[in-house]
Amino acid sequence: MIKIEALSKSFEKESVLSEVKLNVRQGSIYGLLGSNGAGKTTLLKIIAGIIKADKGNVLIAGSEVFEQVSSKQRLIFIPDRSFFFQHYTIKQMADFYKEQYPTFSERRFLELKDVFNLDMKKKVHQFSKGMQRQVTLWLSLAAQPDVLILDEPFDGLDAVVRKKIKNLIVSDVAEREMTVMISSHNLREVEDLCDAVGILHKGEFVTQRDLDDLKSDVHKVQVAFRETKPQLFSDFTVLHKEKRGSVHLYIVKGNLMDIESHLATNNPLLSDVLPLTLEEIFIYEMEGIGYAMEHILE
Amino acid sequence: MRWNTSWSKKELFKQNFRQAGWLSVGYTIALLLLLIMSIFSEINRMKESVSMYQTSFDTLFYYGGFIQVILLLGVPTLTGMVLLRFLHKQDASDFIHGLPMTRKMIYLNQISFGFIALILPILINGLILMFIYYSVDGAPLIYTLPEVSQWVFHSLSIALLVYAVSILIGILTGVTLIQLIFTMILLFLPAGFVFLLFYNLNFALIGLSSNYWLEQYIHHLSPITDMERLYTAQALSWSKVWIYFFVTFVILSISYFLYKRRPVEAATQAISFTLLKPIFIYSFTFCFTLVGGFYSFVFRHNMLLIIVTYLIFSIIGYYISQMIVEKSWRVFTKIKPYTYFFAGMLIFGVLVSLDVTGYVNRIPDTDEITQAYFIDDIYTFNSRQDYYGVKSGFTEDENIDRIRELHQQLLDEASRDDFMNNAYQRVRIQYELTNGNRITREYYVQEEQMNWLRDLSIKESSTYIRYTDSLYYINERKAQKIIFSGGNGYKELAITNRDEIVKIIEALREDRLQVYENETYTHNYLEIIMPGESDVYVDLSFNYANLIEYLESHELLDEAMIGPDDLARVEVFPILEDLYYYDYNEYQQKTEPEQIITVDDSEQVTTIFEHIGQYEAYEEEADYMVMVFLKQRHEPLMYSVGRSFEDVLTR
Repeated sequence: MIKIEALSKSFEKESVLSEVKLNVRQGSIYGLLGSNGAGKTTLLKIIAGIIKADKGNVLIAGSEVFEQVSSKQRLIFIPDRSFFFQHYTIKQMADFYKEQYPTFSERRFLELKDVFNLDMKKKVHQFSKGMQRQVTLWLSLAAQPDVLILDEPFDGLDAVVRKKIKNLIVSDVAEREMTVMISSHNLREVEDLCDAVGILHKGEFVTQRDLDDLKSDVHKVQVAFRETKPQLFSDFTVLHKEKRGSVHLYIVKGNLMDIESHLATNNPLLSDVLPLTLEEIFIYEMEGIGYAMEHILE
Repeated sequence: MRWNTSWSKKELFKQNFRQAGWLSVGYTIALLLLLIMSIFSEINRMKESVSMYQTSFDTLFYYGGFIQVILLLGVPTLTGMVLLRFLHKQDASDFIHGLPMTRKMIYLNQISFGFIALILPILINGLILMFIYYSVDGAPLIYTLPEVSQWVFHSLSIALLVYAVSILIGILTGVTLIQLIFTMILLFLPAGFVFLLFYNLNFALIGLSSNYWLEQYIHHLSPITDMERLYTAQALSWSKVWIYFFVTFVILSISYFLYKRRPVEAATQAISFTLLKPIFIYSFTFCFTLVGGFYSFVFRHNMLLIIVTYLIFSIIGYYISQMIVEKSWRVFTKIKPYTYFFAGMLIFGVLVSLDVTGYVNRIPDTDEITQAYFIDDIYTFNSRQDYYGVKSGFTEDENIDRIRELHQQLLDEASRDDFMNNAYQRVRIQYELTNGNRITREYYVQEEQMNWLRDLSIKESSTYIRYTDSLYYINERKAQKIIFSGGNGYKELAITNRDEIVKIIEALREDRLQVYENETYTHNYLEIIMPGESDVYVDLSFNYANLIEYLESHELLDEAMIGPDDLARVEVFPILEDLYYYDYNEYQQKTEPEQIITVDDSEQVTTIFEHIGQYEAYEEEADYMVMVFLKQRHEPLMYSVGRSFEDVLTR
C-alpha cells in the first residue's frame, strides 16, 4: 500500500533522511520507531505529501502523493500536535473535513460521537490536549481514509485514552483494511498494536521486521554441560552469547524445532529455550549489527 | 462552470471569512464613515448657503483626510498577512498542506478571497456614491460621476497592488511581522533606492544631475510617494490605474511561481528560500551602506569621514540583516560574507570613482548635438517646460561650441565635494543629441565663477532669453487682459482690447531681447492675465523703446507708468528699528524735524527714484528710511536702505 524507494531529504545542508526504503502492506499497522531527531516526523510528512522529498519516490497504492489530490484524499496525517482553526467547534471542523474528503461519512461521524462522547458545539480549543487528540482521530476516522498516519499518537495520554485509540484503530483496520503507520519513540507502547516495525536512526533504517516472524524466530537458550562445552550453534545466527557460572546463554535466530534438536545432539546437562520480549529481541539484534539499543530507543 | 467549482472550496472560504472578514467589513464601515458621512455633511453645508458655496475638494480622496490613504496601505497589507498566516505557523502549514488540495488550489482560494475582501468595500461605497448622486438633492454639486469612477478605480488599483506586494513578501518569509515590515519597505523601495543611489553617486560623479532625475521621476517609482496625485484631479491619470493592475498581475504570478516551490518547513524562518538568504543579506547591507552615504551628505562630511561612515553603516546593515535571517542576536562570529561584501563594494566604489564609463568627462561632439541649453533657474525651467512645452535651445554650431566650452570650464573648476555646499548656485548644461538621447549635467558655481559666466554673455543671447522667460512661451492670443501698475496702486491701467494686448506683448518681446547699458528701476510692472494658466509678470523699464512708443502713440503712457513728472519730493528719515511696519505718520511723529533730510530738486529726486533699488537693505541692516512722495498722494513709497545711500545724498 505504501511504497517508498530511495528517499532522501535534507534541510538546508543537514541530511535528515537518506536512501530510505519502506514497504507497508494494505491492512497492516506499521510502527515507525526511533529516538527524537531520528527523522520519523519528516518521513511521515513526506509520506503524507506535506513535505517534498529531495530524491526518491513515495507511492500510495501505486500513485504519487505530493501535489496529487486523489492520493491525498485517501490519506490522513495526524500530527503530534493537533491543529484546529481558531474558534471552530467540532461540527464546523467536521464540515471542513467533509468538503475536503469525499469519503467522509456523516453516519460514521455520528456513530463515533457515542464513542468519544464530546460536545459537538463546543469550541475545540476549549478541550484538553488529550481530548483534542481524540477529536482529530474522530474526524479522521469519519473521513474513512485508506491510509492513516499518526505521529506519536500516545504521547502524553493516559492509559484509558490510549487503549480507546488503539481499539478504534484496530477495528478500522479489521473492518476496512485501513493501512496504518504509527511513529513512536517507545517500543513497548506499540508492540501490541503493530504487525511490522522499522527502527530509524539518524535518517536511516537500522532494521525493519515483521513482528510475527520475529517473535517465532529469535530464542533465548540457556545450556550447561557436565564437561567441556562442545562447539554450539555453528550453523545458526547467534546474536549474543555470555557465560554465567557454568551456564551458557545464547540468543539464537532460527526455527524452534531445529534449535531443540541441535541441543539434543550435544547432550547437555540441562537446556532451556525461552521466549523473548520484543524489546529484548531488538536489543540483541541491534547489538548484532553494532548499535547500542539505549542510543536508539529511549 | 466546471473550472469555477474545481478549485474553489466553500468551507475554506468560510474559514477565511472568519479570519479575515472583519477587515473587509471594517474597511466598508470605515469608508462609509469617512466618505459617505463627510459627503452628507458637505451637502448640508452647501444647502445652508447655496449661493456662497464653492466645492472645496478636487477629488473624493479628500474626504476623511489622510485616513483614506492609511487604509489604502494598511487594509491590503493586513489582508495579505491574515490570509497567509497559515504559512507562518508550522502546525497550520502542515495541516493545510496535508489536505487534498494542490498548491494551485490553495493559492487561488486565498488570493481570490483577498480580492473579494478588498474589492467589495470599495465597490459598495462606489455604488452608494452613485446612488446618492442620483437620489440626494445637491449631491451632483459636490461630486460628479467620473469622479466616483476615478475614486473606485484608483482606490482599487492601489489596494490590489499593495495586497499583491504583501502576498509576495508573505511567501518569501516565514514570519508574519517580517511580512508587515518588508511589505512597507518594498512598496517604498524603488523610490527610496533610486533616491539613495543618486545621492551616493554624487560623491563620485561630478556633474551628475541627480536633482533633475529625482524631481522628474522619483515619485512615480513607489505607490507610497505617488499617492500625492490622489489629491489633484489633473494628476489622476488612467494609465497609472492600468499600470498598477498590470504590476499587480505580474507580482501575483511571481508569487504563485514561488509558492509552488516554497518549502513547507520554511514556516517561522525569516526567509523561506535558502537561495534568497545571501541575496537578502547583501542587498540589505548595500542599502544600509547607501543610507550611510546619505547621512554623510546630510552632515556634510569630508571624504575621509564619508568613507568611515560607509564602513560603519555597512557593518551595522550587515549584522542587522544577519540577525533578521538567523532570528538571533548571536551572529557576530559570521564575518566571511561581510568580507566578500567589503571586497565587492571596494571594487564597485573604485570603478565608480574612476568613472570607467566616462560619465564625468563626457562632452558630446558638436555634430552629435542638435540643441544645447545653459540653465541657471533649474526649478522654474523644468516647471516651465512641463507647463508650456519645450522651447528650442542653442542650435547653431557656433553657439553649441560656446556651451561646450562653458561645460569644459565648469568641469575643470569642479571639485568632488561641490555639491555639499549649499551656498553655491546650481547650473545645468543640457544637450539634446542627434540620436534622440539627452545628456544633462549639473555643476555648483560660486559667486566669483558667475563673473566669467557673465563674460560669456550667454544669458544675454536671444535664445537664452527666449527659453528662460515665460513671456515667450505664452500664446498671446490666449491672454485676457494686461494690467499695468506702479507705486502701490498710484497708477493702474487695464488693457482689454485684444488688438492692443497682442501688440503690447509683441512690443515687449522685442524689447526684452535687447541688452541695455544702464538699467534703472521704474517701480512699474505689468501683469498678463492668462485664463487657466499662470499669469506672467514683467518688470518694466524706460529702456523698452517699443513699448514706450506704443503707449505714447496711444496716449496711455501717463496712465500706465510712473514717470519723473509724477515725483514730488524725497524725505530721508533715520531708521526706527522698533517699528515693525512702514507707517509714514508714525515716522513723522517719532522723528525730530531736524533729523529729516528733504530733497526737492526734481533731477535729484528722479535719480534717487531710479537707483534706489540697488541700495535697498533689510531692516536689520538698514540705516535710513527713504520716502518718495508722489504728486497728489499723501502716502509715500517707502524704502529701507543701507549706509551706502549716503553717496547719493552727497552727490
